[in-house]
Amino acid sequence: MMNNGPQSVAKVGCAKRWSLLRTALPLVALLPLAGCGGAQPEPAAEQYDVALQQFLSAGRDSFMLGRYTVAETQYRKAASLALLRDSAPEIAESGYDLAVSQLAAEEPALARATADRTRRAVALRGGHAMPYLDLVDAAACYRLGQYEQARDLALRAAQGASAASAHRGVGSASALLLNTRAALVYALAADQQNDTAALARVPAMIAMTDPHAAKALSATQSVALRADQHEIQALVARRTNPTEAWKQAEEAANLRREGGNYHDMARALALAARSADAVGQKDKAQALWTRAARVRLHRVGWPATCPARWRPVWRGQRIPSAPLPRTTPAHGPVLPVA
Amino acid sequence: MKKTDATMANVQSASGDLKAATPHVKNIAGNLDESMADLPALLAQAQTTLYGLEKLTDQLRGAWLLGGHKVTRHNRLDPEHVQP
Repeated sequence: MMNNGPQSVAKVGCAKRWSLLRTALPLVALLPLAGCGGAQPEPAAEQYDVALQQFLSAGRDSFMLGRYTVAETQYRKAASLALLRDSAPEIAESGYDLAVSQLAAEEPALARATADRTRRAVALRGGHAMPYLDLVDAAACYRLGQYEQARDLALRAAQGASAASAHRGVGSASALLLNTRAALVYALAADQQNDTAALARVPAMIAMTDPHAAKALSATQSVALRADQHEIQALVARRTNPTEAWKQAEEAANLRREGGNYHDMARALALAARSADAVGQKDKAQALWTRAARVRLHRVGWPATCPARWRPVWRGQRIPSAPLPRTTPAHGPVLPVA
Repeated sequence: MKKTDATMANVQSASGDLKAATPHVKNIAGNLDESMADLPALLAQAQTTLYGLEKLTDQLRGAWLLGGHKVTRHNRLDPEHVQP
């Protein structure tokens, strides 16, 4: 017994240590998971209404998948909850998102109405003017062929973005994107009006690009910004230097493709087609028109009024011998309806 | 005639089966109604769970152990999505 004593004590000590280790090991293994708390906590205001946040999140996800009508439904629900909350910033946010979805779903008139209602609801609650709303309203006006209003609203959006940027002391990334997009809408409207003096003023609108703000952009945002800049340069150069305009428009189309923005890609291709036509390259212009029209058709679907001879084009079976119509409305080529 | 007789016998048998099943229809409809009533709540719970899962994955992506970069979700759509 005496001989076994220390061994027994040692065995008991070993067993205790092992037991302690077994308890501590899982805890140590769990420690790295503490890093999961690395993300910043959300602002308290965002957590009050989970339903509103869910609708906004679901709307964004649907929009990103190209399900614009689904996004519209979600944003409409978010907008009604924002009204229930009587919160001006949230009304503005959800109203803007709803209008953008309506515009993407080819409903510019509804987008205008939404922007207008949102603006009035925000003003009623003492909210500030929102340049984002002016931008979507300007784009809707452009789609509706109301170019003068589109220009006014785009100018106001650009000025609002510059003012917001100056107010914060440093240029923010979102203000930079907003300003450039507003300049693009302005240039598109001026181009439709053949107003060369207005087009000449556009480069000054985007001249002051803050390098800090440009650095803060994500890869996707950076591609979108460059595409906007190229398209603006193409619009400005179209009448004076169509070769340069062609090059810039094709570059813009390539960047749009990279960014997955096919609506804007079709418009850039149509612009390249017009520039190629002005240079005298009829065949290349026709090919560009066909490409632009095909992208556009895939996106908006096939109208019932379309003649049967164009259907194979949509299905990708053959390129027609006759070119697609060259008289374009504001947002790119459409199908012949006769 | 033989064929008609056989067909009629089948119809009679089928209608007999239907008659036997009829008393259960009420129960089935009741059960269906009960289950359908739960569907909206189930959908709401699924939606909430997915939302929670989305937040969790965002947090996991932000963990330093997983090479994390901070994931910030902006609900507002970027100006690039405004399509003139």
